[in-house]
This record gives sequence, structure tokens and C-alpha cells, in this order.
Amino acid sequence: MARANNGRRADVRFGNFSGPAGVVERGGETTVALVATPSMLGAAKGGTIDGVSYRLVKVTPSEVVGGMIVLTVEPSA
Amino acid sequence: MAIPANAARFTGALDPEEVLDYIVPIGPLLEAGETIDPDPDRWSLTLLAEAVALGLEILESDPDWPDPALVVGDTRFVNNTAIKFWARVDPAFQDNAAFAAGVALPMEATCWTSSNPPRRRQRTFLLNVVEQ
Repeated sequence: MARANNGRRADVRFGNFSGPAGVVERGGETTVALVATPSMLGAAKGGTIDGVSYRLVKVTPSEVVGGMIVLTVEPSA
Repeated sequence: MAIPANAARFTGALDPEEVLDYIVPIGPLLEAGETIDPDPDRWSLTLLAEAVALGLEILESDPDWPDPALVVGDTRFVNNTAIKFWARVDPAFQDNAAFAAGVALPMEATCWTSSNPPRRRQRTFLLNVVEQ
């Protein structure tokens, strides 16, 4: 493992949300934090990170940043 | 992964225009004589997604600040039982409204230890960023 994992900022599209987000990949899990409400994702089952398709696994409100949600995603097969 | 309710907070808030050093104390998780494995591939600091989204950065490979490193020669800590790093907010994010009221940004420290067999320890820490 590298000493510091600063993640990356990326353009993401999930449901009706399109915009910048923080993306972290660690231990095979990819999480995405963005300023949105769960309703903005609608019934989306997936989306894109920098144009690459991902399947949406879970959506949770951020526990530390108000108005932010955290997506757990995995690469689309 | 959920952020634990008992996640420790670093003392001292970071103003979004500051560059400050912090120490992650792993010692309380270790047994007597046990240390963090000093192999750089055996320990890491990872920002969680919210911290990345708001521009927090752990400085690494920067010409002006040292990389994250295990603490050695500091009388407050047993050698190789704590991790020192430097942090800042990306200048493009320093005016984010979230910092006016202050926000606790999460990061995770992970390490293998010197025990045989080695233990893998992991803790979440919160770094307060607030305009001051």
C-alpha cells in the first residue's frame, strides 16, 4: 500500500446528478462522495466516473458532511 | 464503510489556507514492544471520500513538505508507533462554504505491526477544517 491515498476528484454521473465528486479506491472498494440528495439519484442502478461505467451498490448520507451522500460502487461487468 | 461514532479527532483545527502537521498515534493499539512495521508498503493513510470531495490533501512527493513518515526520535512516542503527516486544503477548495461553519473530514490509518504473526490495525480519524 502507498503511504498516502489522497483519492481523486472526478466528474461523475449517477441518475440526475452530474458534477464533481471525491473518489477513493481502497481494498477493492470504490466510494464516491458528492453534494446531492439520494432523491437526485432516482432509481439509478449505475452511472459513470470520468466516463467509466460503475454499478451502484449502496447510497448513504454522509455521517460527517451535511448535504453530502456517499455512494459505494463497483465496476460494471 | 461507516465512520465509527468513536472516531478520534485530531487536536487543532486546520484553517483552509494553512499547511499543518499532524501525528496519528498508533501506540495505544499496540502491545509492549510492538511497533508499526516500518516497511513503507506496510502502512498507509487514506482520505475517505468526503475529505477528497472537499479538497483535503495529505502532502506527499511535494518539494516543500516531507512525505508521511513514522515518528522516530520524538520523546513523546516510542519509535515507529505513530505516523506524522502534513495536510492542507487544495487552494481551489479553500473558499468552500463548508469551511465557514467547520467540518470534520475523515481519514483512515492502516498498518501491519511487528508482531509475529503481524496484526493489521486500522482506525478512522477526523480532521477539523474551519475558517479561523
